[in-house]
Amino acid sequence: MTDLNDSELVSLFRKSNSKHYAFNLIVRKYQERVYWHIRRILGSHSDADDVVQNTFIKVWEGLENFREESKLFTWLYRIATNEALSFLKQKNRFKLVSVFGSGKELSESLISDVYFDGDEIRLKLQKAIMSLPSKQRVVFNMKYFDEMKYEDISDILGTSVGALKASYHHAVRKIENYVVNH
Amino acid sequence: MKTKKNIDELLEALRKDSGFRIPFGYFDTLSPRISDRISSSHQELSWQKRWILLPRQVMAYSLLVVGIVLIGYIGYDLIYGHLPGAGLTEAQITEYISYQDGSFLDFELEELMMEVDEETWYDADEEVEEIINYLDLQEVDLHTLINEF
Repeated sequence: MTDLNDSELVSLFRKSNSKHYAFNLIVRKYQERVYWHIRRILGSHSDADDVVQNTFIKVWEGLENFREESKLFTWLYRIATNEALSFLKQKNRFKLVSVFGSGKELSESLISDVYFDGDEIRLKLQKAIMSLPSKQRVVFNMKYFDEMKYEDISDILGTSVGALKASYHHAVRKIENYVVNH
Repeated sequence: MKTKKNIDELLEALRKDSGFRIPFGYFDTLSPRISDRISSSHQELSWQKRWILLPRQVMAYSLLVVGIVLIGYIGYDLIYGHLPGAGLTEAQITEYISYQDGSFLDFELEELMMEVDEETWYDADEEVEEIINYLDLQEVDLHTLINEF
């Protein structure tokens, strides 16, 4: 893992002779956090793998013009979230299912995924999370699993802190209801 | 019936182990795979740039050739386009000549001779008629004259 901070990594990236090296360091520094963020949204490993790669390719293309008005990680998360949501939208358009109706399909794909190895309780909880509308699921994951502050989530999603709090509490309530009723 | 406390505990357990797994060594290979995709897309892009430039050159040369051919055709048509038989194809000309059962030169001569003959006969008729009228006026017996000659 690199000792360079984000600002130093970005500066290194802007030098033509160290561009590839710096990018490699950025990928290695953030790949796991980005992957798990995307995986929790999509469920399937193969889908997450595609989207992670697309995310970092977008980072490669856009980092030259990154103005450092926000933190590098916030910017990375924003790209990853948008890529994951676009992927879901595209997938559902192809299957003629709305984004809000995709929870059932996602939970079914979880059962058939060879890279899911949870017990019955974990499967039920994951199904409950997958049954949430995609944007609500993103908010829940960021708050609960990534333990991010509402202010940081607000920067990434461009949604007010108040709306995020409401969204998170709705999500928790829905998960509780799902677990109780199934 | 599960209580809220139970669910919090379950979610806490899920936070520790989500049940999601990844292939062995996945994160070791992710970075090189991304770099490979970037390199290949970069190569594709440079090929695309070449393919965008190439059609431009091809189009420019094609337009030049088409322009030269067009100018040549218009020039040829202006010079030779108004001569007799210009509107006929070679096949039509050949068919016409064979229909006349002779060469182009023979056909011209034949037409010319026919015209000359017609004029000669026409003139001869007039002359004979004048002679007949003259002999008639002189009260010459034409029948006797014809029989004697």
